[in-house]
Amino acid sequence: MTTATPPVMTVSNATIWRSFAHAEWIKLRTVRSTMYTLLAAAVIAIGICAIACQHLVSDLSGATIPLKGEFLVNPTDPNRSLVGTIVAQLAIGALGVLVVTSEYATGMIRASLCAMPQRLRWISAKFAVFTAVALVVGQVLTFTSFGIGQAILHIRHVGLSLGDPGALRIVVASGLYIALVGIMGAALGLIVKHTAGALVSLIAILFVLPGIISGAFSEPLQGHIMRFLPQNVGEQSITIARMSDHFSTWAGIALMVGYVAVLIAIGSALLRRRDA
Amino acid sequence: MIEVQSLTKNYGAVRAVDDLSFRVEPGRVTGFLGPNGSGKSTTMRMILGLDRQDAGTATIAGRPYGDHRYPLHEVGALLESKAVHPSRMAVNHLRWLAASNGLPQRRVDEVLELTGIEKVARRRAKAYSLGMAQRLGVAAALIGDPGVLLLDEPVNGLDPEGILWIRTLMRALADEGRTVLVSSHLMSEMAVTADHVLVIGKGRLIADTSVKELVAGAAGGSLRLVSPDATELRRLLTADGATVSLEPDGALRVTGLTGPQVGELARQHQLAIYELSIQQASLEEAFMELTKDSVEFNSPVTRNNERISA
Repeated sequence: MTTATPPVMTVSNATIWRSFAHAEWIKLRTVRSTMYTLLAAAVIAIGICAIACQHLVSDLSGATIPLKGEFLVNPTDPNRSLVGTIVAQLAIGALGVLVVTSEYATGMIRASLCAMPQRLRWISAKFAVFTAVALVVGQVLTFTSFGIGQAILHIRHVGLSLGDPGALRIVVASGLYIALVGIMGAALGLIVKHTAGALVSLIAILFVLPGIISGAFSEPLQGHIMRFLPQNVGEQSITIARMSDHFSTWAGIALMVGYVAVLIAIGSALLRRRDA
Repeated sequence: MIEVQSLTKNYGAVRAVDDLSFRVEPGRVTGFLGPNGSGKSTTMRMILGLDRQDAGTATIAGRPYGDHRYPLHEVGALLESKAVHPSRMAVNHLRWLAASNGLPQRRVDEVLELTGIEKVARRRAKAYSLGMAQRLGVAAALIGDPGVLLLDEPVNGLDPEGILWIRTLMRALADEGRTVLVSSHLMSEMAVTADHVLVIGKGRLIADTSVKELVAGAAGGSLRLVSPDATELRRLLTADGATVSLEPDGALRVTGLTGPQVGELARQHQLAIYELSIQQASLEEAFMELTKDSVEFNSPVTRNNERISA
């Protein structure tokens, strides 16, 4: 048997954190459902964008006047080439939920914490890995959607290019928004622990809350509240002009970062205290 | 070495572990024995830092579990066979474990070979039989070549071959000088595996002793007596101060008198004896005797038996 292993006691905290992150990266890519979920997100997001743009193109097919993007593609409408974001966020959000709740559902949390007992270090490594993946996936999805969508619109000469005012902003911001919804899912998973419960919470925040608020409050109070909802942040993130009752794109993204930070803080505090 | 000092854990109003203290020494297999619900698993989870104790301390190699920087180098644990994601391949489960503690990937191949599952390493965990899952769990526990092992009910659900394998492995690990703590609710299993036993009931330590002493100290040997004149003999023996009870097969169970005394008594009254044998209290009985006050659910059947033999 190997008795004392002196190097182990002298490894730095940074090295340990990297080992944890490496382990979490292996976990993330060795479960098939991860890849299926990401693939589904891509197909749905890009597919919806392509359909929406194709639909716009066929609407324009009867027009005879020379077409110019600014007139026919209203900058105050959510950009057609990015409307798939609304569905893609759910897929990434579900993935985020599963990344955490599958630990609890399979009992793997015990193996994880036996191997990585410094809980906050472990969860920060796990979130770092998932955040990196979500950021890359978000940007790949929005850049691809935008490229394909605008190529279709370009058939009628109403396509935008990334150089057009606000275009790069909406592509980058909506990619960030998708990633943030994913991390929000993971944070809810950490708080709730159960897959179904966390998914329902996420869907409630994204899609049910807006309905409740618009039913419960009348203008102008309604608008003041609605601007704080992720849904409105998401809408603004794919829209070139500033919409009414919405924060500006970057203020909205910052708000989402704040929400996610608070949820992670709550989840981490619970993780520290709870029995695994 | 594992040291547990005044460990206490409450679940609401229920005290699952109650001021428990013991040491688990290296170089031998220590059985951790108790009826279901006696607090074995909770204690093991607290030693591993998974559950938070309400009071007391638990250390492995002198430090609380969470203070070990790469714990798998020091401690291996088999908690339950299903601590694996069902759709992850066994080899990948071991890979992330190795990566998490800075272990070289060759350790994955080594433990796969050691546990004999290298041929099925690329199958998903959900396709594993209980025996294979248990071997994977052992592979995971051994990945860091640890000096301390905690195994929670490792033979549960295994076939005879698997049980023999686990036994031999635990013996070998202890002989190499490692600390091996293995929990079980089966005394008979511990009799053949363990050198030393810790018996707990209702979260309290009942016995901390060698297996030999446990049997020897158990409720004294009794005599089994088979006779065609059982009724008459029973009356005579009782009159002589023995405690006699009737076994289900019609034999008498006699305590308080020696074999020669019983034999002489029968000869004096010219009663035939077909069988007279000394019954060593089995480990199972010793265990039942020790834990009878602390079993969580006492069934009516057990209670009746106690009344008959009392």
